[in-house]
Amino acid sequence: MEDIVKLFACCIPVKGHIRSIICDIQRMKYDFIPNTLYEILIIHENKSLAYIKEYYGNEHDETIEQYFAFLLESEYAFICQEKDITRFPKLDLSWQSPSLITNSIIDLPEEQLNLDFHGISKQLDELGCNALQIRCYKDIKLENVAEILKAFSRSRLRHIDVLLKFNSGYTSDDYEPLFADNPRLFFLTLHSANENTIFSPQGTTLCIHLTTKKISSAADCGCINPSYFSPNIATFTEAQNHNTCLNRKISIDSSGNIKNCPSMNENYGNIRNTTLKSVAESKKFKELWNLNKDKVSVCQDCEFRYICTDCRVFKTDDTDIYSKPAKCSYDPYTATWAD
Amino acid sequence: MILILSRGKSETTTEIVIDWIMRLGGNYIRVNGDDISEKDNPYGINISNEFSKFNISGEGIDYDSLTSDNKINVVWYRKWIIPYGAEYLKLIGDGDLAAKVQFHLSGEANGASYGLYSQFLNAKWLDNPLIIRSLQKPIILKIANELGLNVPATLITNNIKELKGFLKLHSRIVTKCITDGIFLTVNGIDYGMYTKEITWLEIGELKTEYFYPSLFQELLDKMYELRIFYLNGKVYSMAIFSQNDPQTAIDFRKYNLRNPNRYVPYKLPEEIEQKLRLLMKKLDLKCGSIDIVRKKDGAYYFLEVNPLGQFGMVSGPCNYYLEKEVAKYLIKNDK
Ligand code: SF4
Repeated sequence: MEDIVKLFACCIPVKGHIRSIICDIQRMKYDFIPNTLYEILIIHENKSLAYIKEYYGNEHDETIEQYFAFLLESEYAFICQEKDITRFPKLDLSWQSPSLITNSIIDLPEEQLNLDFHGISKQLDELGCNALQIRCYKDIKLENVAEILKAFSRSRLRHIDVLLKFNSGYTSDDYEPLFADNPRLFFLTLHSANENTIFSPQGTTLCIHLTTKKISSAADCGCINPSYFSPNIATFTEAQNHNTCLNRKISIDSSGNIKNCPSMNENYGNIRNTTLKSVAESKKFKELWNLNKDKVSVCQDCEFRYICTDCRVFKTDDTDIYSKPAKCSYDPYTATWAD
Repeated sequence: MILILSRGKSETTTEIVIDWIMRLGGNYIRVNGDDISEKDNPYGINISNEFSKFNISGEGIDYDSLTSDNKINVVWYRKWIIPYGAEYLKLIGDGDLAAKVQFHLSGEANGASYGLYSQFLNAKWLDNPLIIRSLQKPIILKIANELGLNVPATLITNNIKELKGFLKLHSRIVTKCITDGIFLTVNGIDYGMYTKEITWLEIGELKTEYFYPSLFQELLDKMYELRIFYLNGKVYSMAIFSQNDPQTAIDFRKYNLRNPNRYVPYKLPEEIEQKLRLLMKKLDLKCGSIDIVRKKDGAYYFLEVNPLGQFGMVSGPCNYYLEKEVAKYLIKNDK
C-alpha cells in the first residue's frame, strides 16, 4: 500500500496563464505555485510519488520532491494511505443563499436626509439582506448617522459598514457611542483623513479605519488590488458561478435611484415610489449576477479569478460588458502588476 | 407552525436556519429563554381542570405573542435556557447561603421551562428535552459499545489506587467532565473546561487517597478526529487534523487562531454510519453532534453524542448547508 500526498479539500489550486496559486480558503491565504505543479496536482491527483516521478521519466525527481515537501510543510497537503483516498471527498463548491438579496449599499443624499430609512430597513428585511454599507462623501453630523443607524437596529442585518468623511471636529470618543448603540456595526471608515491608521475602540473587536484617500463620489469605487482579494470559502464558491461584486446586491444611489451598484447608469426606479422587492425580482436587474470571471476576458486567464472582486462599471472597454475591470493593473500573461 | 426555543444573543446558526425557513416558505415563532426572564415580557403557563394554556407577550421580542392556541406541530429545541435573575440574588447577599440558594433558583428556572414544554407535549420535537436530559455520557458509551462501536477504556472513580492501576494499564490517560463542561467568566477572565492528560506527575501531587468523582479515559493515539452531524438518518462528517499542533493535540477546542486545525469533509465507512444510525435510533434522537477518533491503526473509536451540539462548525468548512437541511426537516414535520 502506497502513501499519497493529498491536498486538504480546502486548499484548491487555480491555474493562471503563466503561474498558478493554491487558495487556502480555510486559512484565508494563497501561495504561488508553478503551472507544472498545478498539472501534477490535477492530472496525477491521488497518485503516489514514485508513480509521478516515473511518469516524468525520473528526470525531475528532485524538483518533484521539493514540490511535495513544500506542500506538506505549508500544511496544504497531508499524507494519506491509498486505501483512505475515498474517505476524503472534494469540497462541494456550490454556493447557496437563503436571501434574494445578500448585500446592499446606500449612498446618502447630499442635501436633505429625508429618506424613509425605517421603510428601507423593512424592505431589506423582506429580501433577507444581511449586510449593509452606508456611505457619505460629504460632511455629515454624527447625530444624523446615529439616527439613520437606529432605523436598522431591529432589522435582520448582521453586518453594517459605514463610510464617512473625516471630520476633525470629532474625536474617537464621539464615534464610540455609534458602536455601543449598534452591535451590528463592525467597520467604520473615515476617508479624506490626515493619516492612515486602523484602531479598535476600547475593549471591542470593531474597527475604525482612517484613510487619507479622498472618496468624493461613487466613481471612486471599482479598484482592484491584492489587498482586496478574499481567499475565503464564501467568495471562492460564489465566484464559481456568480459575479463577486454584483451578485444579490441592491443599491440606492445618492438621488434615491435603485441600481445594481451606485456607480451604474441604469436605474430601476426611485426608492420614493418603487419597492426594492419589485426591482430585485425583475429579470433585467439580475442579468449581471451570473457574469463570473470565467466569462470576463483576461480575467478568465488569471490565477486570482476566484478570490478577486469585480467591477462591471469601470471597464477597459465601455461597450463590452465582458471586458476586464479598468482599475486593475494586473496582467496575467506576464504575471506583473503595472503599478 | 414551527416553534423555535432559542436564546437571544450570538445565535448565528439559529438565524441562518430561520432565513432558510422563510425562504422555503415555512412558518415559525421564535422564543428566546432570555425574553422569558425579562420583567417586561409577561408570561403565564396555566395547567388546570378547565384549561391548559401558555401565553407570552412583551416588548423587544420578535413575535407579537405566542399562546398554545397557535397550532405548533414541531418544536426545535435549540440552546434554550431561562437565566435566573441575578437581581433576585442580590436580595440574599453573598456567601454560603447565597451560593446554595442560587443553585436552587437555577433549578427553579429550569422547572419553569418544563411548564412551557408541557404545553407542546403532542408536537414533534427536535429533540425532546426529556430525552436529552436522560442521556448521560456513561450511558451513551455503554449503549454505543453494545451496538459494536469501539469506545475508549473509561474509568469513573474517586481514589488513587484505581487511577494508578488504570494509568499503568493504558500508559497515557486523560480526564474530562462526566457531564457537559461549562464556560465561566470570573472577574473578566474566561475559564473553559477541557480534556487534559493526567500523568504520574499529577497523581504524585495528590495529597489524599480520595478525590472528587472523576472520569478518566485512555488517550487514543489518534490519526485525526471526526465531528459528525447526524440528522434524521443522514450522516455528515468532517475530519479535524489537530495532531500536528501540540496546542490542540489533546483537545481540539483549544483553538489555535494563528494556524487553525484543518477541517475537511469526510466519508465514514458505510458500516460505521449504519452503527451510528442504530445508536441514534436507540437513543431516540433525530439529530446530534457525534465525536469519533480515528486511531493511527485505522480503527474508529466513538467518544460521545451531544444532542445540542453546534453544527455550524461542520456546516461552514465543509460547505454542507446543514442550516438548510434543518429548515427543510422542520418544514416537512410542520403538519
Ligand atoms: S485580471 Fe481580473 S481576476 Fe486578475 S486581478 Fe485583475 S481583475 Fe482580478
